[in-house]
Amino acid sequence: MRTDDFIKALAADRTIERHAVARALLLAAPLAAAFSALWFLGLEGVRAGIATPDTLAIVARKLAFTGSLALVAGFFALRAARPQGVDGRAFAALVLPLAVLAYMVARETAAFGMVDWRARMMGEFSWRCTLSIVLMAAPLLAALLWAQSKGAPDQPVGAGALAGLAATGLAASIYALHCTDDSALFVLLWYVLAGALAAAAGALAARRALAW
Amino acid sequence: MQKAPVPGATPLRNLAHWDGLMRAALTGDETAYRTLLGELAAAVRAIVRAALSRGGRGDRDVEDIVQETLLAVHLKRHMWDAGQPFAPWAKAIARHKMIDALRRERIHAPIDDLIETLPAPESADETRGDVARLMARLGERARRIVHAVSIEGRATKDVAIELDMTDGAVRIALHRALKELARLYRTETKT
Repeated sequence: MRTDDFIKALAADRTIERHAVARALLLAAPLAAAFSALWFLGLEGVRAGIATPDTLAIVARKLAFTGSLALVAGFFALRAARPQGVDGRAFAALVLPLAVLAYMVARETAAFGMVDWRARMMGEFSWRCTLSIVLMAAPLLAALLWAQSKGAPDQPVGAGALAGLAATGLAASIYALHCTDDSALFVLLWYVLAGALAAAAGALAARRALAW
Repeated sequence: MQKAPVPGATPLRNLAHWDGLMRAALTGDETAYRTLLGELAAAVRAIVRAALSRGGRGDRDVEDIVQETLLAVHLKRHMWDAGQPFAPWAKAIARHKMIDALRRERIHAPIDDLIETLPAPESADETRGDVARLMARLGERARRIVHAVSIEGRATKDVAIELDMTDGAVRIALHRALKELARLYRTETKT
């Protein structure tokens, strides 16, 4: 077919899928969140004594890390749905959640030094933590990838990795309400491991999921 | 239609008037949209041709990639932010589609090598039949609609009368057909 003729067909099609990314996200995210919530309830939900001041402070610090990860990665994951949407700034901005985590580790080291650091890092429910976060992140990752695919992500690997990190931020925020391993070193190893796994999964899935 | 400012070594520059054309197109100005797509086709053609010849390939696939790029720009135009210049946006899409197309090609290199020994066919503005071949995979009605509005150059409302449909239904069917074509481009490997 001649290109001029093909252009006639394109010009005759007036349907513009406005807000396609946001619409997909609004549709899929609640479903994904419901799935994650079910898993969370299976974990017996919120930890006991969360309202006591000490526990609350610990949970708040964990949420500062996971929440800032969700916000920063989520913001750039959605921007990545545009052509040329990902650049170095997206990954530079991840310094923010990492700085929160670094603060948590520094604070704990100042108080306890290196005493028993291995035991604190390994915690009690290490694998359950990582596995739970990854499993709760999976449907959220799928929702984000689907929403991104309604746009035009021209750097699928970066977009997928950001989606994985954003999903981890959300999933870990839920898990933090349950998690009784309170050392910053535990978060440093197991939460970050979950994020790395989800980011890798997002990057790997992207080539197929973000084709357009 | 291809008397666009023929881009030289750095195509897609000084194309600020594209922003206005695209803004008009998004509010339903079909003439502006056709002008824009025509100029875009010329610019993309120059880029693709240069890239393919650098890669030691002929002009054979240029028009296929041009059309696939136009289709992607068309279907993804909701992702263009009207405050941003249009040309770099379109160029990013063109680059993405070109990489896709070249990747598909490489997989079928042995077949390509065979074709390489055959004489280059047809005029530059015509495809080898890729869209036509993909159109054969559409449903009968969708194929009829695309053929009527493109090759026959008919208005959707005339096609609507012929097919005993409303104009709106024809346009929706056309949109679905174009989306399906984009999907087929993506999933069908070249043979």
